[in-house]
Amino acid sequence: MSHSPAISISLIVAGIFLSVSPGLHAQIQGMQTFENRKEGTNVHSNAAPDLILIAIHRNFENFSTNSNLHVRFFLPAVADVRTRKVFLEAVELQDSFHYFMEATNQSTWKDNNWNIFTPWPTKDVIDRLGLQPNNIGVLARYEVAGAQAVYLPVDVYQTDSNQKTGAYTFHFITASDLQTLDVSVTNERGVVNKAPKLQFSCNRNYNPNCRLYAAGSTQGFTLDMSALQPGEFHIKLLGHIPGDITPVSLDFVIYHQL
Amino acid sequence: MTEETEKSFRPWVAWLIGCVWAGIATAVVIALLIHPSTTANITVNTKKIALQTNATHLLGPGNHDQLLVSGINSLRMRFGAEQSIQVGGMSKKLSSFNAEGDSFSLCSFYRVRSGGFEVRGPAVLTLQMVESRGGRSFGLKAHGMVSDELSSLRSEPGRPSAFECRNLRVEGATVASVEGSFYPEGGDTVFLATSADARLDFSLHEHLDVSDTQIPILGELRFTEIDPGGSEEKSVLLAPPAEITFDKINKVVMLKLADLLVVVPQNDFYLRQFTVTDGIHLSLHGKVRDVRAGAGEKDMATLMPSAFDQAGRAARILGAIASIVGLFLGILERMGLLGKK
Repeated sequence: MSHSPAISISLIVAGIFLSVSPGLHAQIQGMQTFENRKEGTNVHSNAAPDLILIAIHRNFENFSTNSNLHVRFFLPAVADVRTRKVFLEAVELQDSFHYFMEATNQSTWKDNNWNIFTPWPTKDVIDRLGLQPNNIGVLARYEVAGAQAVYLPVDVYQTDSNQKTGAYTFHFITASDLQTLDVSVTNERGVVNKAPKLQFSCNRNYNPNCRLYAAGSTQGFTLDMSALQPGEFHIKLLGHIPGDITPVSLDFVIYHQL
Repeated sequence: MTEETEKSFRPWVAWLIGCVWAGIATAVVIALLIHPSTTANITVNTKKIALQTNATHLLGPGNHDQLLVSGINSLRMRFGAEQSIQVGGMSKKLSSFNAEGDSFSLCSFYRVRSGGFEVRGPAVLTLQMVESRGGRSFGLKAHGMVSDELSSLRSEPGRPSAFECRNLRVEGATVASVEGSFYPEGGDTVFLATSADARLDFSLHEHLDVSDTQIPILGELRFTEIDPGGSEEKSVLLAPPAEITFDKINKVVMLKLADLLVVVPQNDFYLRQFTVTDGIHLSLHGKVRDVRAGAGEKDMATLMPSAFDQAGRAARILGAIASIVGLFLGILERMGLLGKK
């Protein structure tokens, strides 16, 4: 028995070595669960289709570190509330850290009402990653079984300035080089009076293969819809790739509410 | 005392031999299980790499048919002679042009020479080769401010040296677009500084000169991208297969093409060189804490040599001597040749 302490110490030392070894290689990253959201860094899909929407902002107010953010969006009434799911997500517009946030509490959203998501303290993740306010994109949408997703423009703020506007900033990722991009708005029937329309292109006189936007990049445009009545509208993005006659397009629905 | 008793092991000898053997066995098991940091030489061809660095300069000088910069914070242009510039649809004759911007400001510079990019402070850089319907292109994303000085090249027939920008602030007012040609003989200068998140895109349609050397790497490298249909990490490695050499023991590991690869640097880890051709060819060297690879995220296993592999010849000989001494002691005791009181 007089030797047992030495053996015990050896076993303890060996145990410590074995337990510490994998710990040294553990990753300090991943999603954290908070009261109303999951937030952190994860692997999430981006730039999958030709064009993918990643954020629609109505107002995005600048904020400093240690802020508590609020996200406000209007959720219209739908016939089939039981199958409706509401999603509120945030990502980096230009992805460096794979930041991702998603709201988790479905039951708090109110129909036909302005909803406010909070708290969203920046000290939890955003400040620690060193993310800049103008590189954060927030996207809200709802989905009803068998129907196209409806996107809901959001206000992001720390202190509500109550600024109401019908001009929305859309952020998207293009998987291909684009030489031109046309943006049009239509209603359910495919027509809209006073419809805003945007056209962007690079100057082909400078280079016949010029690129307006580079493949894999995040781009944005602002569309003023204040002249339109509240309701659902289809936004269509139509892009042309240099040297390719087949265009790329994206059609999505947003709910416009003043 | 009987003969049998005389030939049996005395307790202290049995314990001594047992401890020697148990100690050696434990040391071997532990040495096989732990993988200490070591120096690795890694050559890999990849579609994408994100790295944290404190490099102060990026990319060597090079000519570009089109350089696209997103996230311009400050722009200063000096022309050799007055040029006709379209500012928000209005034509102006200018010999210089200054503007400010933000993360949504975007400029294309046609036929310019870049002197390389200065990086202000630590940055996270993502080098990416994008295959798309329009062909291949190379992009560099920077989380951290960068600046560059460009000079315009001489214009050629049908290919002028020019620029076009969007969403800039000129004299306090936001203008949707600004565009114009540089002096045809070339030599106009452009200084640009980006916002904290910027992106530079280079066309790969023609000869491309994008490369750099000696970039310190501060954080983990993941040679993966995300499966568009889900959340699975996919390999970004391209042919030829990645090769990892652990210098100390000269162990060479060749990866499978579709393997995922993660490199965790310890310190003094460098991107020795990268060149962009059919992919981003990287040569990395330095001390690594871990190198993991596998067929999928949950199949990742360390490629690091164990402490046993890394143990020097002297340590192995010492271990062998201790084992032999233990064995020898046992034989001597068994033969009754070990001195007795």
